[in-house]
Amino acid sequence: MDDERPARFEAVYKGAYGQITAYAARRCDSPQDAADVVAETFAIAWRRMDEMPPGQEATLWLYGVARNVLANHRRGEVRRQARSVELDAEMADLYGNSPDSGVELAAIAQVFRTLPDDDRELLSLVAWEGLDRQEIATALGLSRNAVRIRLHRARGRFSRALTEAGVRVTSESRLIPAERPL
Amino acid sequence: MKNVDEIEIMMRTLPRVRPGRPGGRPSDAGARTLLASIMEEEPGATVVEPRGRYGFRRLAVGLAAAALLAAGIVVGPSLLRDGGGAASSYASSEIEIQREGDEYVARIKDPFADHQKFSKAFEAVGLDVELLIVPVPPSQVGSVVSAGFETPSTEWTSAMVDRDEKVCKAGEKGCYLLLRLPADLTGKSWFKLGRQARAGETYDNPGRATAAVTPVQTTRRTPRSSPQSGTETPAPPPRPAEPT
Repeated sequence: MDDERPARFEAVYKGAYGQITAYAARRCDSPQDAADVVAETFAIAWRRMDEMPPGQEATLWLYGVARNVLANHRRGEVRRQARSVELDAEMADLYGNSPDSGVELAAIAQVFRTLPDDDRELLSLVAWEGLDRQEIATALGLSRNAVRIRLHRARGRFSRALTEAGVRVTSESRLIPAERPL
Repeated sequence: MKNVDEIEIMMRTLPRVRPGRPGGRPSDAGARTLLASIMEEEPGATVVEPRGRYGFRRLAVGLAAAALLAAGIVVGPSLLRDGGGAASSYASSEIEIQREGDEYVARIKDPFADHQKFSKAFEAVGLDVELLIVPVPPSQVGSVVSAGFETPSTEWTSAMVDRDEKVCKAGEKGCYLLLRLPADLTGKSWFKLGRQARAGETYDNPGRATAAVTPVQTTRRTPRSSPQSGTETPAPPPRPAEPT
């Protein structure tokens, strides 16, 4: 066994834990679901340590794993990891903000949920996780050009859907938690 | 189109954990407990024994990767490196195919789909495979009941398993037919993989229905042993005729 693996995994875990928990919380209905996704993502990462890329790419790789775990979770197929009461409680803290149910935000969120899953993920990785095209390409195993094209199309679809729904976007929207998961 | 900046500004208003802000803290008790519980397991077990029962754990990950994109998109090789070089995947609503080392693993999501959908999927990963999912007696569900191929000594694995690597029954959540094929499979080949028959449906291979003495869920046409070799049995010899 490679003795460096535990130390390396621990370092990656500590470095990416905040980002992966945020990723899960932004996309899951409940803190319990988010805890499942986080736990399974890191469990898979541990089992696949030998495939984890070095440096900053490890976090992008984890996003890719989390994305897949989330897809499975939505199909009801995620395996239950040994997550603790404490973990559930800590995840619940991320859900603690009382949502602002402004009419415009609710409408935007509703339109957003009608987009194809891939569109939502691309748009979210840009706006929520703050990834650039190359980073998304790395995380999702796509070419940078493919990301560029798909992102362009996703934005177009989102924009058209907003227009069709009669949602007028202003640049005055503030950073307010959404009422429902996206 | 609305201004891209507008869209991104608007998007940032949506999530409960605001952009730029971290979620949980790794120093919290739950995070530390999770780390400890995960690391109790042996790391890289799937790499140590890639062809054993842990293969299905790898499969769970690989197939999840295949599900990453919408129907019919071939995923680039860097998504999940399997150590075997170029890997590619295919995912549609009917089937997912994922490269795992020296194998392609197909997971049948819709056993009632048109077999041409399956052929298209295999073609996307470079295999000329015709896969027919046929109704069989319960004892043969998950088994390849017949096959034909041009590559000599072709070996495969088939099973009906869930995400926990356990044999499962049709209709159970997360339970799918699986077929593992060598990645270097060349030429044309075809496989008949058994699924649960519908009520009143005639078995595809009625001659074997009475010989229901093979409680086999995993079949590998290979001389190699596995941890579950006691449950394995050779597949029937391939038939030269084309499937119907």
